[in-house]
Amino acid sequence: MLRKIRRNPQAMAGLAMIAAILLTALLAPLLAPNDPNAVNIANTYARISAQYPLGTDEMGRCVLSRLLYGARYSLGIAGPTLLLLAVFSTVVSTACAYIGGRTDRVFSALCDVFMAFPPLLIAVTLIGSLGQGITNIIISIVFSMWVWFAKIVRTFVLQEKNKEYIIACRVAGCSDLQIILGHILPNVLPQLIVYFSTGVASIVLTVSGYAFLGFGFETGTPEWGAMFSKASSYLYGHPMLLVYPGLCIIVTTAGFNLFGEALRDIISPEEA
Amino acid sequence: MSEKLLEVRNLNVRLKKSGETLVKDISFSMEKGQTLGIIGESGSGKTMTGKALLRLLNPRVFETGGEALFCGRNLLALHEDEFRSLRGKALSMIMQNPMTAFAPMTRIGKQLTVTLSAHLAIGKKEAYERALRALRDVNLHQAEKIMRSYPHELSGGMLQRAMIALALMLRPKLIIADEATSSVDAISEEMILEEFMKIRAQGISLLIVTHDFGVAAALADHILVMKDGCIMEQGTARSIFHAPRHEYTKELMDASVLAEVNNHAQSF
Repeated sequence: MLRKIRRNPQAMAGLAMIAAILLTALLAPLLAPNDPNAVNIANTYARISAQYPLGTDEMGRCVLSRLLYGARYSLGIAGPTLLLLAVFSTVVSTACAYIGGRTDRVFSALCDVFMAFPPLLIAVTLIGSLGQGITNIIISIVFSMWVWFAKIVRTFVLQEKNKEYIIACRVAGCSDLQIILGHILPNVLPQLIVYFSTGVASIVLTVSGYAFLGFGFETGTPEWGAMFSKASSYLYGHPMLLVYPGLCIIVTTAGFNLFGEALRDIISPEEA
Repeated sequence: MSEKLLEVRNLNVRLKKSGETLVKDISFSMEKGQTLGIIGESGSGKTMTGKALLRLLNPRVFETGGEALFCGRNLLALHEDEFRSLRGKALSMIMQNPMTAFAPMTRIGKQLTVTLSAHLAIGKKEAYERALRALRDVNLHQAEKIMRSYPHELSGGMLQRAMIALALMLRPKLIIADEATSSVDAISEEMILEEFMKIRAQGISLLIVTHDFGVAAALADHILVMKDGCIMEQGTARSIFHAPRHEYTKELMDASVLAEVNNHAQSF
């Protein structure tokens, strides 16, 4: 597996991008030239200089330092949220789709109810009742987005469970758990990995949406989504303030997408 | 007197929604070591009969009635766990299309060893050795390579023999072969028929579901002719082929001979 990853240029490119972002997050205190929260009203919108390699923002804070620290917040939210989303939606959807019948119909109806409400509305309601904080943000994102992932997982599992090889497995005496873990999941996982990898960008942008509504991190937290959202107000005067966090989000998303797609190719024998 | 292996009494399969009966109160029996061929045109209910015996029909769609006594136990009334322990071990099936009967993302070796581990308390190495032997027993000489292969890397004939190996690994008492030769070429068909002959020689009972009179003639001791979910005629292979009593059997045989002649004519 590792050898296959090493030989796949797309996987290596994706991994390099993910590794760069992770290293940035880990080494932010060492790499950042300035304090990311140090406000200097006298030096707002400063041009690129040795002291401020990417200039300063509307509060005179170092943009580069904020971007470097921002990796911590953005990945710190996106990573666990994506993991929870993937595990929760995969387990619940696979079980319901495999059992089928009434269980699946009830599950499908529940998904439809969740889908009828905009994710932001569900999230705002949850944060409103749970209160702010990183754990509550993660819980609210999982609850507002799980249904979209669950529907995709359900579709793949339904397609797979009716295939002839599943009947062959049953004939061979395999238990339901053996069929799910040994055959259905390995066969649907490659497609799911690609879909889940696209979730990183959605999560980062959702968090920025929260910040805009005042539900995200505390004001002033150097988080890419919030920086992106705030900078949109200065689009015409200072477009680079929008470009920098946007680029960071693109690189992170592209890294996960490239690696996800390559991983699908690596573990799908017919496409290798 | 020979020992009864399977006794089917008034087996019927009905569509729950429409109430349409697809298999209508059929009864037949099989003795140990016997090969029974179920012949009929498409939609006659022969595959449905095989699947009903293995309880592979979706209970939400189909309703199955009657009795199927396998070694004295009613297959249709057994608890799911009890029935699962019979599947693979005492009862097995060879599917129609070998290309779709193996999980596409799992190596053949793993698919064989998982089945062994599901039934026997043996280690990974022992399971691997047994699977290897099973593949060699069905004349797959590059067994190690096949164990490492994914299904799409093998031909239909090789996969069908791998499936026979899978069915034979746990030494079942009865194997149901559903149109096992219809998806492979003529050479592979001949090889598969040879494997079936060997299975017969080992004393394992075979229930062959086919529309091919040639396959039935080559393998079956007894024949059961089905049409529209009913048994039209049943008897020894000799009596069915030499002196068919029912008009439908005669028509079916004529059609089969005609198809054979047409095939030969096209090959020139």
